[in-house]
Amino acid sequence: MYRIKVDHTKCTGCRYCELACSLNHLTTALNPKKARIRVLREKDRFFPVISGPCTEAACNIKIDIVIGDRTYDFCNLCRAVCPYKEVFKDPKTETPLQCDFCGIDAPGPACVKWCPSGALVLEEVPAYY
Amino acid sequence: MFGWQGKALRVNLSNGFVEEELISENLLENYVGGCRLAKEVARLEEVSAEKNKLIFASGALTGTGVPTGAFCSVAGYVSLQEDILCAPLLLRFGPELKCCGYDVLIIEGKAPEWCYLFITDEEAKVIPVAEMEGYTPAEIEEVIRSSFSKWYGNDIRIISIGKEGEQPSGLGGLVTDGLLVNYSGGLGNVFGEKRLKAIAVRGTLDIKLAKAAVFQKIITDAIKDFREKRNKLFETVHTVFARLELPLSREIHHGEIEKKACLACPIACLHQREGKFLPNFTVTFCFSELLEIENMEDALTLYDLCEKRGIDPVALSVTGRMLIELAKVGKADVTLTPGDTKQLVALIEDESSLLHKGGFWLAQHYQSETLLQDITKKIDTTREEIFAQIEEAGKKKAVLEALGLCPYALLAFPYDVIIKAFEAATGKALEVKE
Repeated sequence: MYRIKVDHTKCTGCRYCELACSLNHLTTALNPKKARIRVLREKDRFFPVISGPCTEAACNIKIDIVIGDRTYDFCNLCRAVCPYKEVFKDPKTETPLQCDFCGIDAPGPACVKWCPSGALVLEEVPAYY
Repeated sequence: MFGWQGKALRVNLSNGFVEEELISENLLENYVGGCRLAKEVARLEEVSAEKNKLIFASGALTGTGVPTGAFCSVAGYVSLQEDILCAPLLLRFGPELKCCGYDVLIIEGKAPEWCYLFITDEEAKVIPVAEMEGYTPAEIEEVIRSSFSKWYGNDIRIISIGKEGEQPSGLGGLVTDGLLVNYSGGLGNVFGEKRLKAIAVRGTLDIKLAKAAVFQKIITDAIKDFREKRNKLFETVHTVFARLELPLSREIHHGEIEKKACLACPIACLHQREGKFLPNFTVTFCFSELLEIENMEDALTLYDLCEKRGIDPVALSVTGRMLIELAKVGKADVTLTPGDTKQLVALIEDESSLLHKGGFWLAQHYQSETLLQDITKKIDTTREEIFAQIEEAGKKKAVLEALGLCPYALLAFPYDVIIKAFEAATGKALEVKE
């Protein structure tokens, strides 16, 4: 099975992934706000975050995540489509938008194909992973 | 209409009246975008000292995903230069304005008090913010973003002015999302004349493409090609910059820095350290060659001050050099030694100093037009050096600028790719006229 490996240290914030995703799903237009991957900014770093499962309730806990020598607010990097977070929802209908891997059209989903910096890479991992 | 949105937004700050207008397809086909479109709209609107307006224009390819397609041009009549000036805005303001449904934004009139303009999907509001007078661009951005939820606020793109733009000056520039806009000296003062402290945009509308599948393939192939040749390309770019020999640039861009990109730019020529933008190549050249600043700390201090006050660093360098030269021949009564940042900072902080008049005013007042021409030519010649290896670079750069693209695209992408992408995005053939 495949996974999209995200290396945030390589992300320059060009948002090609958002454009690619929206074009692939809208088919005739571009719209980064309708993308199922969003480049979120946290403490001067860009993090490409792929939309995950939709939850009906927001978390009531606060978790910090440590990457290297920096501590980040996990909420900012969380993939869940939750009531608190105004991303990964269609801006007009508020329908949750979930990544479908663009149907795994090798060598990668649209965001991976359009990522120029190598921050997004498609990797094959064992099925039990 | 494909590629473009086909609409302009007109905002009158005097009465808060907001109007949406259709743009003639003919106008967009003849002036596809960028400064050409902004200046043409300014001409049609009869922009002058008495009837000053701010014109923003995106290109046909702005926000479409064509490499480096992020530019939006801003034009206005700058009194101290007695001419309509135009500067390209980087990062994401143009694409966001397009997602609000507009290719062109026309701002006229003068607000009764300091205000900012907030544009969303086919809607605009003039919001009074008298308390923002004297705020730095960073403070304005913080205030605007924090008045919305975190997620919504992060998607807002902002152009703002600092203290320099609030007063009559030739140096008042623009700041967009923390980045100083080069060549915007004087345009910040047009904002100030209108009592417009900032423009914030957030759009969620689609940008439609004529032949989306063809367009997608062109961009996919171009990026694949870019990735394969990336190391070689960066080597070429590095060689070009190394040939220009700027020790200050090497020093500034050394160590722990992060590369940042405008929307859809694989090159990512912007650099940040600890969340703050560093001077780019043009600014580094201006600081080291015109102001003769050799020390990195001094250059960063000066750039930081420019960012806080909203001063165009290019206009500052040109004016500083003018003063140095005029003082040398005893024409101007001012003390400014080349390389002395303290003296320069003192002149910046003294709001009555000649420095705030700008290069054009100094050239006219001291009848030194040739000196100004020589200084600006020096910058232009160096910028031309970057494209020296590219055939017909002048023509290609003009086409890219008109399309709303950064000319640096020529360093990494074949010109034909851009032309094909234009045709796929708009469904129209691009005719290049002299």
